[in-house]
Formats: sequence, structure tokens, C-alpha cells
Amino acid sequence: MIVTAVAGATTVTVGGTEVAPNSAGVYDISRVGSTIDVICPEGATVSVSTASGSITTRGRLGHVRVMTWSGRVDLDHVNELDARSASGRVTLSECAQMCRIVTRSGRVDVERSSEAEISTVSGSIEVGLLAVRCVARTVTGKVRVAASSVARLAVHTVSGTVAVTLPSACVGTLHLRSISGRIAGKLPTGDGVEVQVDTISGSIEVVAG
Amino acid sequence: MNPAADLTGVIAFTDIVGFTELTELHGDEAALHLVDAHDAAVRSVLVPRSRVVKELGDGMLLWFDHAAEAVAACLQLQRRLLGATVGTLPLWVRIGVHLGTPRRRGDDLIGRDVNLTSRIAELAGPGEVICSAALVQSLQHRCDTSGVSAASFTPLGAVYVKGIAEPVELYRAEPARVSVQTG
Repeated sequence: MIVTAVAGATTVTVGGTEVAPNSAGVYDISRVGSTIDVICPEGATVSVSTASGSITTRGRLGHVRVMTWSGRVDLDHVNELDARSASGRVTLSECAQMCRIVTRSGRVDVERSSEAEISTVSGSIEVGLLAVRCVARTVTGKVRVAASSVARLAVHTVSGTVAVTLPSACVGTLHLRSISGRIAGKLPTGDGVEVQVDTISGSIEVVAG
Repeated sequence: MNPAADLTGVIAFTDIVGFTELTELHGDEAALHLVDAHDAAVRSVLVPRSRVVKELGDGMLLWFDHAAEAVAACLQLQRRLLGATVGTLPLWVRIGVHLGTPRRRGDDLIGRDVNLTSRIAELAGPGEVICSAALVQSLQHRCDTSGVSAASFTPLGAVYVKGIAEPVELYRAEPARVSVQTG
């Protein structure tokens, strides 16, 4: 399934053919065993589900909800996101507000988000730039987050290593706890970033700059 | 429980997140402690018209006569487990809830709705309660609202489940936000 948001579009097309909404105003599109190419207006609310098929969005969408068991999920710009996958990998370019992503073994890559709640069992988690708030939970996955100087970040792992990158000259508070893993990271105390990391055996590294 | 061959009520699956990995990393003794803590937490939220149908090793199959009580109990369970640890290990639980009509086999429940509930639970993250549309609609259509004023439901869209022709709409249950005005 490929969903493309086009600026100025006022209709929804599937494979080049315009489709009509149902009585509730929803464009209900379902196909079996074929690639579905949907074009819709920018900012549209989109809900997509597949069993194993991949899900791709392009352009700027509004509230996006995605569920798949094993399909790969590749999302461009969204305003808000809820994405769930068992084994499929989830990648997201940018989320303006809150993104919630749940996978078991699927890896999660978020380039940029305002807020994020991400959980995996074994999939790694990478957030390129976190602006405001992030909660990440994983059992064995590695976590790598780059956060802004005012972000609130909470990471919980069992054995996964955690690497946090902060802007240079950043101030704030660090609460780093690893029972048997190595901990490296210092920050001048001040009113700024807040980083909490809890892990059992994973190592923790917090770097500013 | 009604001894009839099939019943209408609420099926819930709880599942300890990452149990296999935690057992592999920390051994059988730690796994036993996790299961014991999970068992105690689940039983602590059960109401008179509910029961543990069976223990599944890293989770439980539960039955509730009433939808509102099921949602309230599952949210209460997640509240109790918020930040919970067993020794040093986190006790993260995911829950799927569905209203359906399973068949009885002795004390056990089987059938399509049981299988569907298990699949719903697989899509929940740690600390989450995910519900089917059937359950949410029953709360809206019936006067079965005791306890549910404390819950709100966020639509997640539909999911395709293997062996079930139509996609199933899911919702994320959360404790309702209460605003209080003073003055």
C-alpha cells in the first residue's frame, strides 16, 4: 500500500481512478493481493492495515494509524502517528506531534519527532532528533536517541545498550542507572534537558556535543 | 459461570512482554518470580463475576461477565504494574480485550473469539489495554457502563487477523481524563 499526500488535491484516487466516500465520509479501500496506490489530499487522516504487505506514505499526512503483522512500514511526514507491527520494521521521517510505535522484533527508526512513545521487545530504537518528550522501552533492543536541549527523555531496557546524544553546551539532569553495565555521561546541572535511563545489564552513554 | 455451551462475555489475554528474552537473559528462577508477580497482580483486580480461565506460562486467559468491569479491571491492573519491578526486572504486561461468544470445554474456553483476543494482545505495547470494537460498541449500546466512566477509547484503525475475513477495528483504552473546575 502506497499512500501519497498531494498538495491541492481535493479527491482520493486509487490506481488513478477517483473513488467516492461512504455515507460516513470515509474512503474505505480494501484489495487483496495487489499493490494499492492511493493519492489523497495533504493532511488527510489515514488508517492502513495489512497482514504482510508493506505500507509506504509520501508527503504530509495528518493523523496516521498503521497496523501490520510483518509488513515493512515506511512513513514520510505525519502530524500524529500510531503504528503497530509484530516483526515489520518501522521508519518515520518526521512527526509534528506525538508518535506511538509498538513492535516486537521490528526495528524502529524515527528521524525527527516532537514527542515519541516507542516500545519493542528485541527491535532496536533510533531517534534522530527528539524535540520535547520521549519514552522508549525495549528488552534487548539497542536505543540511540539524539535529543534537544529541553527534551524529557526516559529509556528503559533490560540488556539493550543506550546511547543519548545532546547538543553541546547543554545543561540539565541525568538519572542513569545500570546494574551491571558501564555508565558514561556527565552534564552541567541546570534547567534544561532531563534524561532518565534504567537498564539491567546494558551500557549507557550520554554525550553532549 | 453459566453452564450453557456458549456464552457471551469478555475475554482478556494478559502477556508478560519479553518473557522469553527475560528468561534467556536471567534464568528460570527470575522467570518464576515474574510469573508469580504477574499472577498475584492479575488476581488482585478480579471481580466476583470474573475468573482466570487458564494460566499460559507468560500470561493468562481471563473471563468477565461484564464489559465495563473487564475494562476497569484491566486498566486497574496496568495502573498497579506501572513502574513495577520483580527484583531488578521490569514487569511489563500487554493486554487484549474482546467481547465474544466462545465455546466452553470444561473450564476452558475455545473458539474464534479466543484466538482473536490473543492476536489483539499481541498488538499492545507494555502498559497498554487494546480492545475490539465489539467490546467498545457494547459499552456504548448497553447500559453496561459501571466503571467505564473512568475509561476513554482511542481508535487505532482496523487490523487483518489470519483466518478472519473482515478486518477488526481496535481501540486503545485509557483512564479517562477528569477535569475539575474550582471557583
